[in-house]
Amino acid sequence: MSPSHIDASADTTKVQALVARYLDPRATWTLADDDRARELRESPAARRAWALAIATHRAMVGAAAGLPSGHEQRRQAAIAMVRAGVAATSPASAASWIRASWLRIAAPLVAIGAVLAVLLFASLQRADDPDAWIRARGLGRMELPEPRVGLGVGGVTEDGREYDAVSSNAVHLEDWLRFSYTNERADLAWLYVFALQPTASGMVLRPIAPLPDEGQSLPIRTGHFLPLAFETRLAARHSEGPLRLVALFTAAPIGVDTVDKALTLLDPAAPSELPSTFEARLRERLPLGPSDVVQILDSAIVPGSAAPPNGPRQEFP
Amino acid sequence: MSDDLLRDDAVCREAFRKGERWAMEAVYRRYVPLIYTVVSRGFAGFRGFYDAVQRDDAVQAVFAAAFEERTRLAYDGVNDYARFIRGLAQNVCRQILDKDRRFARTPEVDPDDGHEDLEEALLAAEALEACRRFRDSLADPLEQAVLDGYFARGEAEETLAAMLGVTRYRLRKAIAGVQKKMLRFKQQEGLA
Repeated sequence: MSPSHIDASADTTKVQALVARYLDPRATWTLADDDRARELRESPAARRAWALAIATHRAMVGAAAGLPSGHEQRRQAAIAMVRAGVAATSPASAASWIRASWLRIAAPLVAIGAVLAVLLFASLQRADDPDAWIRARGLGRMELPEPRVGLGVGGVTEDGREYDAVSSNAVHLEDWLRFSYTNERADLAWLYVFALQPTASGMVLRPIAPLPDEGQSLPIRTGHFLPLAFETRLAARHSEGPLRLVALFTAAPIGVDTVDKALTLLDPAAPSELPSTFEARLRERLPLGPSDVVQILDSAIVPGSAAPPNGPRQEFP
Repeated sequence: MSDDLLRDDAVCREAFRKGERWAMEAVYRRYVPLIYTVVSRGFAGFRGFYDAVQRDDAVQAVFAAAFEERTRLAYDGVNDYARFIRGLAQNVCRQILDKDRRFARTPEVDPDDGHEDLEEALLAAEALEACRRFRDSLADPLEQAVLDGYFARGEAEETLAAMLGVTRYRLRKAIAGVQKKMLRFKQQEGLA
């Protein structure tokens, strides 16, 4: 038997032991186990052994054809979270979600019940007093679904084809940026959009809306997918590299000078900070109210123009 | 279930943005069929991964990317999340194709050989029949429910215990029992 055959056989044996653990709900499965399995599966024989064991498991438990079983989904979701560096912030339990959904329904009902009980109690207490009247008005603030507020960014080619600039992770230097917004909150009447690009000489601010001579945020209204009345030609002021777009939906307008001053105080590495950290820094330096919305979108500018679909090698979509 | 979980469920969306595990599990379970479609059938000029293991690896890579804080916060909550994660999946597939020397366009099994899917093609007809026999062999309704709810659909222990009206301790015993029966059956039948 040649050494390669011995290696393949050993890999297959190891992978069979690993897949048995992977499929056993009583056993733990760590990132190290997952990496080890990936490494072993580089061998075609071991990969086939793994695939056969998985296919058998799926057939035995009656999972939907071509999809991981529920048990595999649990394993895979947990490993994906670890790979993404997500810290556990709450117990992994679908039941907690159901509980949350249930609470969303139950909480307003309980609140209404409590208010009615108070009103009833008050009316009973004041029944003997002919001048008494109930002063409570309305039912207080009930929990409503969160209104949607957000900026949409698309890349547009010279011939008018549009692609998503954020989920595709890239826009092309020779293309244009097209913006739209959705605003379901009447209190947010102003929008300020700018881009940041880290360069060798430090962070560079690229004003988008308003432009420096426009003075302050643009007025916006409520509605869905409302276009901003301009497009930005990237080649005019932007350069290749990472691009962080920041949209500020605010109740009061913000001046260009205020934003410029706040951004000069930021660390030059700020555009590459995690969005949550960056937002916190921005809120420290700008006169933003707690209900104002800061949206941060990361993408990158790459050379050329987006290729037409169905070409041999193209960017999304 | 809503058409688009993250777009339509504000509580889940906020929890997902904050990185809460329950929300990410819900997102995984809701969108995993879509991602399997992308990695199996491909898009544009790419015809999808034929290798079942590579499909699984690609799906995990897509969700690992989707769960990163930067990506979670990039979703605007206005447009369909399905569209967002599909675009992300296409990018991840491209990255895999760019760096993975293992990838080959020639399938290991012929997709047109009459099987329902590639997994069934990997298993012999006798093995598939044996798997069906195993499912039928579980006479205890609790064990049937465990096989279906816990192993196939992936219900959480807490949820399944409540649905079946049993304690978690009893459910865990039943899960362990089913697992043992599966192992024994595989040994008896000589299954992988």
